[in-house]
Amino acid sequence: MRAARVANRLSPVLAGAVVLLALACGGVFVDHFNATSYQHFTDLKAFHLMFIEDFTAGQGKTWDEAAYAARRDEGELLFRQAIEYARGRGGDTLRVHAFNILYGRFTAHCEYLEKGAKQGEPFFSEVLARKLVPVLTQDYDYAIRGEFARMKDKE
Amino acid sequence: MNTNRGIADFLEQIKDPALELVKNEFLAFLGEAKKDAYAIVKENAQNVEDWGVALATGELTERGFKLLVDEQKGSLAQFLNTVQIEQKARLERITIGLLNILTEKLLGALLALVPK
Repeated sequence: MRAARVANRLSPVLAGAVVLLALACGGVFVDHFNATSYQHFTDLKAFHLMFIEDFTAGQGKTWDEAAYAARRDEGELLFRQAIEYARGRGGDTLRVHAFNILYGRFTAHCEYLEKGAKQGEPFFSEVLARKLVPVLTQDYDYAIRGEFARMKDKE
Repeated sequence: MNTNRGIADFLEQIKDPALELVKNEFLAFLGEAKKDAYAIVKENAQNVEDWGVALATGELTERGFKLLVDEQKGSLAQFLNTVQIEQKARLERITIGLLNILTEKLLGALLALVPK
């Protein structure tokens, strides 16, 4: 009788724990806030916006293939580090996807510049950059908002 | 350069009958998006209109226009990804919050109710 009473007392807690475990195992939850990934998002945002600025047409600017290639390599490395770190955190696909979307934009921007350079029209035009930057900024801001939305470990 | 003209003015100039339906469909979508409650949908509509006008006036090249459209798609994908994260994190907060309250604050009181 006593055992049955104890079981009854514990059953709500156990049931809750089982539900929680099932939700976690079923991928319903997401990885918690991670300061390193947050840092990666903000570093990439700063780098990427500066990259657009540096390769926007302006007075006296000339296309320097070597300088461009060095910046592209720098960006590639930053993105790869961020993505590999996110993957290594246990494969939270939403965080990896957030980085991949941003990486896709960086790759598209590089391809745009390279194709333009081949056609004798290097750089983003000022009009294009003016319209591009707010959308790209928003893209990063959404990603950063997503990182902040995650539960903190102390919660 | 034509800054006061909207996309509808430029579409009006397209006289190809084969595109009549497409034009109407585009304007219907645009009108619907501008009335949407989500800020991102409205912004998307405003951008589409702004870029369309810039393309028609020659301010933007076709390549630049396509890059912007892809940029917007990327931003929308990011938004949807973030919404998923927010929803899952919220679900976790609620379920863990419930369990914490149950085990840390209510358990003792509930056990006291058990008939001896």
